[in-house]
Amino acid sequence: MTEQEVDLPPISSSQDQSPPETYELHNGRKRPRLEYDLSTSSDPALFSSDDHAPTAEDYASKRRKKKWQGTWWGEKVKGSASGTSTGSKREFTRNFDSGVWMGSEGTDTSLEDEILDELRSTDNKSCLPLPPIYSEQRLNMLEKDVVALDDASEYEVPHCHIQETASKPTRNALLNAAVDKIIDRCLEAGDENVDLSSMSLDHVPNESLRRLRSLTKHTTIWDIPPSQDSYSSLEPTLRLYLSNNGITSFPSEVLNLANLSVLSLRHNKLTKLPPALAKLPRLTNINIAGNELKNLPYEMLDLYKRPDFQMNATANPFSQPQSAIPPNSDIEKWMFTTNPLFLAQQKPIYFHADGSKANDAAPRGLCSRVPSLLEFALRKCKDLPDLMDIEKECTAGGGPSTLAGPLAMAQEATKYGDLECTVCGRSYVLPRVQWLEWYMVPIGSRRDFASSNVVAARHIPFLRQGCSWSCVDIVEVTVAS
Amino acid sequence: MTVRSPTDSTPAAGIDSASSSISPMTNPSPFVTLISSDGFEFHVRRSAACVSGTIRRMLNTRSNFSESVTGVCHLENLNAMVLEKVVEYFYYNEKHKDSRDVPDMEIPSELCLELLMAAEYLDT
Repeated sequence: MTEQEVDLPPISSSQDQSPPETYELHNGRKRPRLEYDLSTSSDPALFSSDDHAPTAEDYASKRRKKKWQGTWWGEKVKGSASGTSTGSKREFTRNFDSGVWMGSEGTDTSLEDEILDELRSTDNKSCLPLPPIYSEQRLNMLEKDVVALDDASEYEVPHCHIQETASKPTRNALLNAAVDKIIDRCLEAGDENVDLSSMSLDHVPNESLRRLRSLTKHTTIWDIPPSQDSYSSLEPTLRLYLSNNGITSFPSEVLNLANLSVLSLRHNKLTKLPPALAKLPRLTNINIAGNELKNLPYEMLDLYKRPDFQMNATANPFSQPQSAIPPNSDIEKWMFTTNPLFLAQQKPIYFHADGSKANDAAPRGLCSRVPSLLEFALRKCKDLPDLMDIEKECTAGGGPSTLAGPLAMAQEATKYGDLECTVCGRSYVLPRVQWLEWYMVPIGSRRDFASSNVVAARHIPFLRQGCSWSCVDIVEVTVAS
Repeated sequence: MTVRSPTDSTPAAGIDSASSSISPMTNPSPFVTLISSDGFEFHVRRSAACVSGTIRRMLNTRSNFSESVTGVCHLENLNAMVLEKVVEYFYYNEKHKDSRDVPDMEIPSELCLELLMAAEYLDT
């Protein structure tokens, strides 16, 4: 193809743009043409000049010449123009992209035909009962699909989006396997960066995360004898990236990863964070941008006491006070200290013992620090092994439905650890009072912030909860919300 | 608090004596009687029993419940074991009403589910 280059005609849009299917490996009817190099994914070169010439490569595959006619840009399958079905039945294949069952292209045989065919074939055998609609052949194909999905997850993780069409348990199992694989790799290599981002997870399996507790760094082998300062701790500073998933509830096992230093939950569907998050001893960087958080736990303010703590909490639907926050003379001074600055407070909302909202007026006569009997019983019930069943029973109507809420809280407490009263420090299950406090909080790197003097801060609501009606901590700046 | 077992006297007799001795409107007795499903009677100080929202509403003199007249509450869904613990809580609550550091009350784990139901019923 050096001297005799011909001008190629423009590719007409009307014709089928997809190249002729040459590698339908799953279709047993077509003979795979294995004389071509299978290592390249593109179709073999085919030119008009050597189309019908019996070249050395081409002489074996007579089928091709029979099937195709015309030039390479306009070639058509012989006999397809007439539109008559040759009667050869095509198999049903599953289209992975759309998730819809359909016959392969150009088929004239419908599902009914196929079932009828099967019926006829069994009639010939005459002694078998009617076959079920899901014939063995189709079941086999379903199995093949699962295998294909498995292969896909093996090669395309972590950037594949496994179709929702896969049945739920299968999909979960595949995702869990993918997560396990990544964690295995990290454990094996001593890699502190655990990247589980963009995997369309809606939850993170706790068993997998638990194994991260045992992660240790690997020793580096030195060419030169190590000096005094080349020693370093093998204790890892774990960095866990869970961004770009669909996680709806905070993965509780994260709270047990004592070595966690960076946690990214960017772009998920979290609606609340557990207060126990602030107890992670080495957490210095957390990214919770792009979630559905309305407020943050009050305990997280403690994290700002750490010298190098950073938080990114942008793009969340934080609740804002209805009335304007009164001007605060400290704001100018604050720009140089970069600690959270208290701005305003919401009126406390009181709850009855069973968790229902009390009237707006503070119940003066009943203020005491004594926990309710329900609270005591819940604390004990928290340790019961079949708590979840009891809660289900209550929600289903087998028990008092008012207990469903408190039991759900107890379950949360077993999952995320006890709540601690932000006023008196007692641990409790059911909050009796709660209110929001708005703080001015630096966003992004504090070092940059301090040097550039840019007000890159927003007032962020922090949710304070108390264990009794007396546990309120009222400051005079109160705004409506 | 005094407890009378059903063998001492029949519960019905207990109610009769209680109702006859109380002149309800003018001077309500400082004690009320709580009767468990298996017939045990607990004589509890009225102020302590009123920790429970349900009992408070039962004994409210402006309500027309018979309990407000007689000062006797039949708690049909609490047995004596649970009611005893409940009464213990009433006194515990009253004792620590105004203290800042409240010690926890011990609850046996075998009773915790029944107490959960009782607390829900008694609104306490």
